[in-house]
Amino acid sequence: MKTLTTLLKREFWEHKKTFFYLPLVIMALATFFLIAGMGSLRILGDDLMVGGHVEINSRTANTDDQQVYEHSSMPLDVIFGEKLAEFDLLSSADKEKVLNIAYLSFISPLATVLWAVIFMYFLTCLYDDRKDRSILFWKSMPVSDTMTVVSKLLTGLVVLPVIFFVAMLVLQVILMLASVLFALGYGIDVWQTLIAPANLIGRWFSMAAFLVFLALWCLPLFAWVMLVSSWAKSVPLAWVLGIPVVMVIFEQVFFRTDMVTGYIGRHVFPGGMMSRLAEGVTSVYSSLMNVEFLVSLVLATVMLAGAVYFRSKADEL
Amino acid sequence: MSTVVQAQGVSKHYGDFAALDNVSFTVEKGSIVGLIGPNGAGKTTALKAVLGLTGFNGELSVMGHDPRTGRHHVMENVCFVADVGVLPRWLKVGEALDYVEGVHPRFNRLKAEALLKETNIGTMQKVKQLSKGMVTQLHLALVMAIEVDLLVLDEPTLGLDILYRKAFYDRLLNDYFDKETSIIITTHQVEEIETLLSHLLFIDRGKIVLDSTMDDLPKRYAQVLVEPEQLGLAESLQPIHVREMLGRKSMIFENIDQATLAPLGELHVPSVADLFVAKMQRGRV
Repeated sequence: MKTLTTLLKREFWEHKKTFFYLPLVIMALATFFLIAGMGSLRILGDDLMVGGHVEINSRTANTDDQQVYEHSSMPLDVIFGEKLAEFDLLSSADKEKVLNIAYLSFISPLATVLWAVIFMYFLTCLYDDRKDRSILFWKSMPVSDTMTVVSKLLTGLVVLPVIFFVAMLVLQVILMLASVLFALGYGIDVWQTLIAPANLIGRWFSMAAFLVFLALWCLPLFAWVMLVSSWAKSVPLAWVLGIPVVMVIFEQVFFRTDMVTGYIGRHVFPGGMMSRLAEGVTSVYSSLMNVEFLVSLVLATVMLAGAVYFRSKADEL
Repeated sequence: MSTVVQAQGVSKHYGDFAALDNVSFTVEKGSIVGLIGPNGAGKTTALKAVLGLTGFNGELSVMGHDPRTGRHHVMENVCFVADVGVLPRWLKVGEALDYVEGVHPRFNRLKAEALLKETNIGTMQKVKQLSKGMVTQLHLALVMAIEVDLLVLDEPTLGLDILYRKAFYDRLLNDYFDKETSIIITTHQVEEIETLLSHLLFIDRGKIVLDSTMDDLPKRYAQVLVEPEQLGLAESLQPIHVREMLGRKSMIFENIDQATLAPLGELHVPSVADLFVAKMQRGRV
């Protein structure tokens, strides 16, 4: 156990920039733009006269139809006060819908970056130390190759998502605080309007459940990237992308089937899954209740065993 | 004495090239073995085989483990310092201490910190901020704080200046002399380690060409500064090496007893460096 925690720490030290400072910077930027936007509105809103058309969508009212409001030279501040009051009048289901979009878009930069960071981490985790020869140091320690691979898998599959998940929670709390502070001056019931319908706690449970689902769903992809990382003698990215492309072309030309192509497509881009998230987490998990998921688990296990095997043979490049 | 490393018919091929060709040797407990050979002779490959860092054919047992399958067991009792720094550049000194402490059951952190205090290395520094010599000092401080049975040093002083090299070997002598630890060391600077060694292994083109204790060397090898009138007789004894020296011929003989050689001229024990040249040239003529 001590060995494993040390190995996890070692991964964190090596990737402190992307594991720690990157989410911190994204959080700081998002918070900055949020506060700056809201703050300037509160401070300058009285003086900013807006004439002509003001087009406001998504955050204001029904998401289905964009509405164009006519205002002749009204302070921006007043317009927002009106919008908030309108928002207050919406049904709680509609409020939830709007807030859901707001809360998800606010963390979407983090989610996107998390995906890229995990991918890049797995791509380099068994390759970089062969390239810089430090594998000779790591391998001179009494750590088994299985343990090494497991620690790297856990880092990408658990540690990284947990770090980014915490960052997402903090950002959403910031969004809530900011929106409440902002709305205080407009005389609306912030609890009924902004806090209760945001349903933060429930939201966090489903976000956590969704991250766990994604980790399982993408396991074959991650295992594949680690396998290439453990074995490639140069440009692992080319192999990671190249071999599946060749397999797809091969299948299309010689077999004219869609098994491999479809499987790869489904598991590389979890986009379809994102839209299903709207239907709820249970719906997403139901897609794990089939043979394909078992195949994924077997494939992932075989590829990870392969990564351990290549790691045991690995030498400096 | 018990055996730490036992190699029996170890071979390693890269394509047609034999990096190790049916190599056999043993390392006894407490011995300090110099593994010496020209570039590309197979020194590093031999060390890597011992450490489980490369595959091979044949039989090799390190502290009772096969390094191919039990590298992590082997590494509990073996330490390794590679030629130029293999410590990752992003690692901080303090992190290196934490890491080794976390994974190595026989690491003594206090000792490592005491060793580092004698250097200019600070715990907040990253490896990339250290000079070549300091990286070696750091690696050595980590390794020396581990209580092991076998220490493997592959060109540990390569690229270091004479001051560092001297300090390195002094430290090594002080720390491991009288200890039960065995050491295998490869180097190009044969002269610098000559006095350190208890065993000598010459390797050339994947084959062991000399395997002797330092104590046995005088019995097996003799260098004679041959008197001019004895040249014919001397040459008939088939010296393994002949060299012109100040107008006279210096010859090295193998396995010829001193009584036979004494009349030929002044007798010496050849230095390891001379012996090395003799052995390596011999294989090439």
